[in-house]
Amino acid sequence: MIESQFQKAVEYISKKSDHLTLSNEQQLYFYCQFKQATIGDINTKSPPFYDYIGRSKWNSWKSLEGIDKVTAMTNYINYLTKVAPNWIDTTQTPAEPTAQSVFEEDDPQEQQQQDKNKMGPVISRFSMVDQETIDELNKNQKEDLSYWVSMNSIDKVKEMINEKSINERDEEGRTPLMWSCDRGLVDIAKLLLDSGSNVNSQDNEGMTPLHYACVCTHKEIIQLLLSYNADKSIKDNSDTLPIDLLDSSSDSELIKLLN
Amino acid sequence: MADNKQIVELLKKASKETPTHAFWDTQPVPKIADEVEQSGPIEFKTLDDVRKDPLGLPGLFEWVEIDVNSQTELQDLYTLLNENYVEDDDNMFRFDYSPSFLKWALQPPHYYKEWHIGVRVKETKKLVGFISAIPADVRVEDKVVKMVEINFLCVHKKLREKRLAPVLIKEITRRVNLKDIWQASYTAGVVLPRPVAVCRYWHRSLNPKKLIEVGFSSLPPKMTMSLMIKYYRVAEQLKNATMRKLEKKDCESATALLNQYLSKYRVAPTFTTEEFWHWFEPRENVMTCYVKVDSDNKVTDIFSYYNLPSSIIGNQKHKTLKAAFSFYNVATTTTIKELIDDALLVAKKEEFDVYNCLDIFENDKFFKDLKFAVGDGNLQYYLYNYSTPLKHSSEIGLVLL
Ligand SMILES: CC(C)(COP(=O)(O)OP(=O)(O)OC[C@H]1O[C@@H](n2cnc3c(N)ncnc32)[C@H](O)[C@@H]1OP(=O)(O)O)[C@@H](O)C(=O)NCCC(=O)NCCS
Repeated sequence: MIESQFQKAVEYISKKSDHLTLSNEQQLYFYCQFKQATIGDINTKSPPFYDYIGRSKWNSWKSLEGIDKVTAMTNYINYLTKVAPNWIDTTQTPAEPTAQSVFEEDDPQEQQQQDKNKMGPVISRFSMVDQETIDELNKNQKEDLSYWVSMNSIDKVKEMINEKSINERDEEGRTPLMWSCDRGLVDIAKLLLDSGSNVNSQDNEGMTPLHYACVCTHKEIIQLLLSYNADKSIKDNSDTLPIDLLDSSSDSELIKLLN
Repeated sequence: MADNKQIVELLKKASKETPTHAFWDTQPVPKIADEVEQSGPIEFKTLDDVRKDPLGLPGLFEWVEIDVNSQTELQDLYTLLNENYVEDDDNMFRFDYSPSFLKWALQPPHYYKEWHIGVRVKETKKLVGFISAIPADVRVEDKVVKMVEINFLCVHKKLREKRLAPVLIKEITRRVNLKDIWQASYTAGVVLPRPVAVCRYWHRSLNPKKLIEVGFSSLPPKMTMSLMIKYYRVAEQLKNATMRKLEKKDCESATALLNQYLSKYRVAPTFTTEEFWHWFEPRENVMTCYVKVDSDNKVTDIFSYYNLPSSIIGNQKHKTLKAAFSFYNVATTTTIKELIDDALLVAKKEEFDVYNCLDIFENDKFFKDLKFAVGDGNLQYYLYNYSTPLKHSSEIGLVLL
């Protein structure tokens, strides 16, 4: 039965048996197939866009719209078999030899309890941008090419590239290429360059794509831009060269490249 | 943290969600919804009331003392915690206390080896559970109470939800009681009966690019990384140019300064000079402590933080996140804001990715100006067998590692 196999797979994943560690992308894959298999098509509103993790979970689930539950279960099981080929064996051995159902309690009052206690998070995380700024950005949000670049969504980018959008500027004068350089998205940057993006355009502050790549020390992007003949002698409005923006700890190879 | 009303609401909600605590309801702690008005012990016992033999464990397991001066035992403890200790909600990060950190945290002056309790599987000797206590004098309101600090409670992932945690807690209680100590302090991310204060972490980003790359923090679309990086650049020069690392000769005056400062908080430790040196002596990759002295070489200002990295689960590029946690800070000739600004600069030089700080002490005075952002999880402070009215986070002057 596919359902019971699916149940076992879910259990395996949630217990993280055998020290299985999953990358974020893998976790996301299991997450969305699980949702599609158990709930079906997405039934929640998109989380606010600053909720990066919530948003990527939501997007992944959304991308499965229309897929039936059995297919999602099958995907889930197949992928697990790929990342942990022996998972099925471990779920078939009955109990862990060390596992013991209940530890001795010398206090009889305690014996019957059983609502699962959930551990709260002690590792605290945060958003670096305050709510006001986020609301402000949210108001001006346009789902244009730059937006999809900043979301690292290469399919959408491909769909939206055309002669006009390729060098279109946002309110700050930034082009889609600058966004890809800021985010360190090599594949998208290359795609934009190959589609005719201007490698030396400057935004309202006079920054070029190379300036963006340098502030963020994205080495591969810097190399890519230079191979497309980016001009390293352009200064921004505060008279700063790309090289001046490098982190003080940057490696000498980078410095040489930009000199 | 929010005002008391909001906290009371939060606690009410918690007590509705988990109305009974099979274990905690049998312990000398106030109920979550109790209104407490006076401070003092909840129950009084004598040594005669304390069980002399250890609690029972199922046959497959045995109690052990972990000797952190033994390289192999320390390694066992490190591995247990490294693989099973506190994680965030999405299981992306896990605290990664280093072996040298553990040695330091578990062996302050007058520690007892019997209070470093492990549970091993008899046959394989695998360490599957741990709990620890260290002695500490903590003042609650106007009384100094001899107590212990409980920390590093950990149960192996495969043994969760089998009620081993209560057994560990009872065993450490028994061993502490045998030394005629009846109170304890501890902190946890879960809401249990009953918090003394509800606190929150604030974070100052020092390496925004990495924090974003590993998913510790998020970057909205249409907000550039460049802006973040420029925004979070730290100063290049100390505001207090004469700040330097703490040295042994500073201990006397630094201890006096710190104790004096701590006297204004409602829950705060008191340090002997010996304890002070143990906790603040600069130790590479564990403790950073800087001081400023006046013309008589008396310490006038102190900042300190400890190094507690997290392992990043399943990230190709980065394996650990290096976090500095604010410890004790005192400013008398400078402002707390400038003092912490200097701490940020030193932390950045030491290549920390983020500086974390609870909203205890007067810390909320500098959060805004120094670009801290609020975290997403609460940390509760607790006292065992001691009731005291609920405190605002800014009335807490105690840091547990
Ligand atoms: C915390 C931990 C030891 C609990 O073990 P567990 O197997 O989940 O729980 P058990 O079934 O053994 O025991 C549950 C009891 O312990 C209590 N408990 C759970 N976490 C606790 C904590 N951090 N402090 C004190 N008591 C705690 C529960 O409230 C419950 O008692 P109750 O029924 O009265 O409410 C385990 O989850 C763990 O190692 N987590 C990772 C490390 C961690 O978070 N440590 C605590 C740091 S503050």
